[in-house]
Amino acid sequence: MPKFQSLTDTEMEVMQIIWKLNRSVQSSELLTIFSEKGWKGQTIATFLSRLVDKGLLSVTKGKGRANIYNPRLSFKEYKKWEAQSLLDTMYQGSVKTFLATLYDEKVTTEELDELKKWFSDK
Amino acid sequence: MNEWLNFMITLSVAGSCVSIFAYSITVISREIFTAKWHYRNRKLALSFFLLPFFLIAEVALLFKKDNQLMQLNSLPFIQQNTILLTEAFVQMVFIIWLTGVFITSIWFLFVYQKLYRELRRNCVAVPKEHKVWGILAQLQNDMNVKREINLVYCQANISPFLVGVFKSTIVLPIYAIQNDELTMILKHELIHDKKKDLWMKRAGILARILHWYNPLIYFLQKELTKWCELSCDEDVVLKMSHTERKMYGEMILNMMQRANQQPNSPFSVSLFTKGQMKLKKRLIRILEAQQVSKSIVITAITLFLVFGSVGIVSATFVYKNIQSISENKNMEIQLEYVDIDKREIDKNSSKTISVKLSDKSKFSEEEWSKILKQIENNEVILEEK
Repeated sequence: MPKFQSLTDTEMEVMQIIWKLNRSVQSSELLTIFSEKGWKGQTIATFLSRLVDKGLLSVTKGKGRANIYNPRLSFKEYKKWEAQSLLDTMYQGSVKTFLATLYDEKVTTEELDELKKWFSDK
Repeated sequence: MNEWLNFMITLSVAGSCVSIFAYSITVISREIFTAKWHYRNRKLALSFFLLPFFLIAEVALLFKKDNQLMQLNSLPFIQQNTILLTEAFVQMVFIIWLTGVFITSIWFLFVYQKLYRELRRNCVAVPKEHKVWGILAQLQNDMNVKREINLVYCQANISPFLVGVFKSTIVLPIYAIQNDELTMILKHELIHDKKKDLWMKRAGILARILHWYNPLIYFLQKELTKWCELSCDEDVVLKMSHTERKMYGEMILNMMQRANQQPNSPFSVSLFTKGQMKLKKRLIRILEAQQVSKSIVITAITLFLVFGSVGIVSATFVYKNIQSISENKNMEIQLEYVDIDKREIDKNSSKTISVKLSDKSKFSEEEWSKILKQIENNEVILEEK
């Protein structure tokens, strides 16, 4: 999995169509869907290859020369990945100099259970 | 440049002295004094890193010093190789310092814009009709916080926090939080806002940029973050009953548990780990925080004043010493100059010298008129071309 990179508005638009279809697609299909935007085949191909680079789509060769694109993540998974990247940033340390938090320690669930038990007796 | 370097070194030494002193006192008085007091001491240390308090002592000596300086400045200087070397050295140190300042600033800018981007991507404004706005308005009223505060939800399982340069924003995790917990969270963040903790954090960043070479500033920043949180807890719980304090402590534990994304460790640890230990100490403080007696308040204020004096005395000592080193250097040069001058006078008195008209530019007007007189008296020979 590559490092999380945010999607541009247009890339998001393309992805939303793919998520809605919920199956593998070819660029010719998307060209029909986005016909009102006046995009050329090359434009769609560029967006799709960028989405492949960003880890949202996988590509396979279909019959003839056409590429077939498959979504690698669902919308929910994408959102979770996005949120995780914020958490990673937050736990890097330097970021804490810009915020005032309620807590900044990472404590495991087991340790928390132990603490809760200890605290309830206080 | 030299002055600037002296200034920065003095600030660094003053800040370091107060930090060390404040920390040593904390080691022995951690439980006696309030978290607010420890936090104030750290803030005092930070202010010594940033503000030139030593100039207060300087002002008192200004008149005396002015006279001395005038006397020194009235003597002309001779440039010597040793001084040139020192200047080159000072220049080098200055460039290194400036490079460090530049790199640290860029680093903070990078971190901030990364955070800002991530937050924008992950946060949505809390709808105006949501109950959380009502709770916030009530608390703002009770706590007399007049500033406008923004509220956003974040899709990541974060700890609630306060952020924002011009307008403070409270960021909440998007999962449902019960009203009583929500009240305590918002109160905690509003206290941060009321006490201008974000400005303290910014001052900390500025100090870290300016004193990047000083390991104590990194240590102080950690201490500031820690006592900032503990002092905020103290403010929240001070008027609470034991049961309410327990609820507050449980709220922190609940929030952490909900945010915890780490899978359970297969290796169960029976001893408290560092993070757990810190949290345990924090919870004990929440339960035990209380108004302190008058004698402790007086001791605390006295110690606070002592810290301030330590800073001012150490800074003035360093500042004056650095200055006297440069003054001493000047004195030595002047003595040398006087020595050379004397030898030349001796030389002049034993030998008759000769001058050319083209030499005029080498002398000052006064000297030249003296020489002209000496030519008239045949004490000096005027050479023809």
